[in-house]
Amino acid sequence: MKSESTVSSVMKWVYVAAGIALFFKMVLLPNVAPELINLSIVDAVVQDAGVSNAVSGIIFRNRLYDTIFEVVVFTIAILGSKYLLANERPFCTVYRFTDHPSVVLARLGATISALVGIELAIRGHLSPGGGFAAGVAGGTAIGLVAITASTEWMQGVYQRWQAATWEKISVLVFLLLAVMTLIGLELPHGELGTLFSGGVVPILNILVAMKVSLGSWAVILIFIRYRGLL
Amino acid sequence: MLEACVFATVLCGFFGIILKKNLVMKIVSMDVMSTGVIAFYVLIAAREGLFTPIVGQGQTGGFADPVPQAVILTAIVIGFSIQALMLVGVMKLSRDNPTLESGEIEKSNTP
Repeated sequence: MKSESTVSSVMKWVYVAAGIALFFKMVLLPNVAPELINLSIVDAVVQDAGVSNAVSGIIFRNRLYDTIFEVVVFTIAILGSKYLLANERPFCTVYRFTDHPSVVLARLGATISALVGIELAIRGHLSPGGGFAAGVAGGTAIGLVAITASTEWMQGVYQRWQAATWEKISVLVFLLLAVMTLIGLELPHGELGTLFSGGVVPILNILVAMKVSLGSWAVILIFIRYRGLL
Repeated sequence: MLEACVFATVLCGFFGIILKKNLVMKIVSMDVMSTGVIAFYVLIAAREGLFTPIVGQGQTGGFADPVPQAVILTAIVIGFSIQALMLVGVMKLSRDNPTLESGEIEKSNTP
């Protein structure tokens, strides 16, 4: 036992030395990048995708495979946390913020956050933002409401609006549209820079925003249910 | 200079992952490391220009490279999902053997 711990403490210093050596290697040695020929990546992508935000164009068109599996990984992670927590005993009493200033501030923040989320989702192909950022904004709004509202009420709202079903529907529609784009069917691009332009990209943005905010809602609910709030 | 700071962040996270014994601290270090990696991609993207890669706001040229930014968005979302999953796993582990120290958990689970 004694010699084992000596060995591990020696190895610890070997790791630290290796890390510091790697640090100096990365900082001091120049890392070469190929010189591009006179080609503007942004212009090429914007031309291809027909949306003025080049990052959205790459995510939802040039690297659509990547985004499909990103959505799939997100779905599987949420399913995995639900599955792992399925046999746990729910937390008995959940303490939450009940004083009026907190409630009012959280509701105000939630309203602003939800509006920002909608704006980011519908204009994600024209301005900075996009589906994932919009989904996180929507999830923040739901989380702010969740820390002040009662658990049963949140659960009731989640079930009444059938949020789980909508989450699954948005994933399926996303996959369908992605497959359509990948086999070459494209909607007309429309005029560059207007709200209804870019073919399928705005729709995919809205679907991803729905998926991410409903998914974070599910995660928030199960974490509060099995672990409590504070 | 900025590059050195980014690498220092990545290494801080890496050392936290391998040297810290507490499982929650390991997850926090992993988040620090992924933050460093994201910052590195943003730094690489800003090599040719600093403007947001959105056409039609009066700028021509000098745009940041959109490809690394789009690539690292995947890492951000996946990092978030992995964190949720790891936290659930840590909750299960800490309930089965009431400690968060990885050494203790390994010791009590070694046959």
